[in-house]
Amino acid sequence: MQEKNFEKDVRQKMEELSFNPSPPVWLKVEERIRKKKEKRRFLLWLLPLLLLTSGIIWRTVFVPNGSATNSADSSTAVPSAKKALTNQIKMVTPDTDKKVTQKTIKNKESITIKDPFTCITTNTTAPVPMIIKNNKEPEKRMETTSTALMNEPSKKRINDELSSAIAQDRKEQQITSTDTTKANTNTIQEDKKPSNQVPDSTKVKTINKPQDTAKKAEAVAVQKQQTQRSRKLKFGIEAQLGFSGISAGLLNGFGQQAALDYSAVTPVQPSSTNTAARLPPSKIRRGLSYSAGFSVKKTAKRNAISLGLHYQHYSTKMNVGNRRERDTTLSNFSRNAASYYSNSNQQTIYTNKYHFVKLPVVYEYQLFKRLPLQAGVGIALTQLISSNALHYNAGGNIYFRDNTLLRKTAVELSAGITYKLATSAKFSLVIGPQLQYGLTPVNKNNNTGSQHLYSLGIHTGIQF
Amino acid sequence: MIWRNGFNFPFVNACNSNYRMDHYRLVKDCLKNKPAAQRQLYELFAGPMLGICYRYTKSMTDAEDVLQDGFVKVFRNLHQYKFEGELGGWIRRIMVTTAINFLKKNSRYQTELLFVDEHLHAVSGDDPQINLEAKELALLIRQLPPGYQTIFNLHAVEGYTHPQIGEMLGIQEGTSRSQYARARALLITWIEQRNGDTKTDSYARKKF
Repeated sequence: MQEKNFEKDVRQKMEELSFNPSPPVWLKVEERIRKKKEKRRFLLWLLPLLLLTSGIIWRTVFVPNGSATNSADSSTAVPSAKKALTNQIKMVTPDTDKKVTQKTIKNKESITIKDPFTCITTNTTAPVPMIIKNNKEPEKRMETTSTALMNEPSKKRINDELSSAIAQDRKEQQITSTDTTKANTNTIQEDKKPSNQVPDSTKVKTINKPQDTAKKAEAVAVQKQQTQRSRKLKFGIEAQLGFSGISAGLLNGFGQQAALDYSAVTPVQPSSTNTAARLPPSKIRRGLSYSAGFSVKKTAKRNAISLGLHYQHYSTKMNVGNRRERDTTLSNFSRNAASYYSNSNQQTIYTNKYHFVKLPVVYEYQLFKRLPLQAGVGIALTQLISSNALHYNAGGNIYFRDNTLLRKTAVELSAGITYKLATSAKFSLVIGPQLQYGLTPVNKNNNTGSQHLYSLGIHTGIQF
Repeated sequence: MIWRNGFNFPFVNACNSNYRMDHYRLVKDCLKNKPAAQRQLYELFAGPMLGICYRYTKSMTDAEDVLQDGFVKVFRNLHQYKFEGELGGWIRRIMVTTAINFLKKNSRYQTELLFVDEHLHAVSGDDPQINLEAKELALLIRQLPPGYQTIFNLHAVEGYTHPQIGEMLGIQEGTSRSQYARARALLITWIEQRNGDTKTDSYARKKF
């Protein structure tokens, strides 16, 4: 249609049209653009906060420390040492036919044995239970029952007596209970002091010489605990295979979406020379997705938390027209793209590929006690490494590539169920379905619409 | 005035190398989130942009809402501007798209923004002279039904072709042509009526 003077006059008049906006307009614009920047700053803090929170949870809940915050773990160490020591005490216990009086002295257990036949009273001490540190129960048992007998011999003498008693106890482990009298006699011979002289409440700290048996038992217990700890920390290799697509949002479902129009942000000059047939923008179809990576998992009873590093590949497909090299049409609005695709015939299938590196943190819970079925939810920070995704411009009726329109850092949610197929002492194999959904859109400009990447597939892993 | 690429601004015609540099510097400062630069950009283009928004809407309140949304988009997407066209033209295109999206989403316009497939109407050969002020002409355009108003603005003022308008509004090219023809005819009728009234007034004031 030839441009008439009327249209020219109208255009000219409208160019002169100008108004002064009211002051609140700028204030609202300023407020909105500042809010967006604050949201971005918040996201920047999200990653370190996420890592810090995961670390704190890991450290406080799943890693027992020396002060035994996890009572279940701490109680295993001491009782095992206690048990070993108690066994030694039992072996020293004299024969039941003999009259035995047992006096518990503070931090020591003194056994007085009176042979009814010989009327020989022997006294021996079994300081082994005193070695149990920080355990109040043995101390309670060893409360002084008779203070009248307590004198204050020199500490050196006490130490000598104790060390000799320990040595004797070691020998007595090989002797049966019926031979305790002989052992006690030996003890008596070594014991130069009267029986009524009961050593003072010697604390463990004053025993200078190492008590090998107790230490050995404790070392064994600690080693066992470390083994248990190391078993709870598992390394794994994981992989996932499935399909991926684009969703307009959780509320909009996972149906096929049409390519978004980026005219608003990459506007094309209106041109009457573009006479190519116009088709609606291509629908974005699902494509292949896969991921691979490794993880470290910490388990405690039925809970587990894992931290991983994965490579994730998403892809979608769309129908485009012929490929064209860079020309004036493309240079109107894109500096970087070397070529573009027309939307004239849509005979070419183009695969949009997205390559991510992600840091997932996953929490898993075993649903049943006896069935190795775990449900897991997780959150991951993803970083887009590269992409060849095309964007649609309705004004130019073309598809072009511009990665500046894509969001580089995003957050992803995941949910899934895993089942342990095979388990051995060294490794276990897990498998199960998993859904991943991009919480933040893959496109930067939400004004054109939101595009959330999602994938659904089978997740497998080997844990060592 | 020079008509360039379908868009024209009086102040653009006054550009020289310094002015172009100022735009470059202005955009760079805005990208660095300097409040003064952002305010300057807004003040430079807000007036004409409000005029554009005024033409697409039915009230100044709606026009200012569109202006606000449009400038928020401008600042959020300023990194997309590659200095390969006039900054004013780039902002204008965003404003037009924002106005159309506003009309589509706003319930007050949705019922009226109907694009009915009609029989083709040829554009009349009328080419009257417009003896109206810009604001008066804008008021007449705003009195058109929303569908006619939008298509008339897009084609007559912004310079989009009917296929492009069809793509933007999701209508057939023929519907765009037909509705434009009807809008044009209606507007010409009103303009001629105004011109006639003006003549009558001027005759009445004359002393014979």
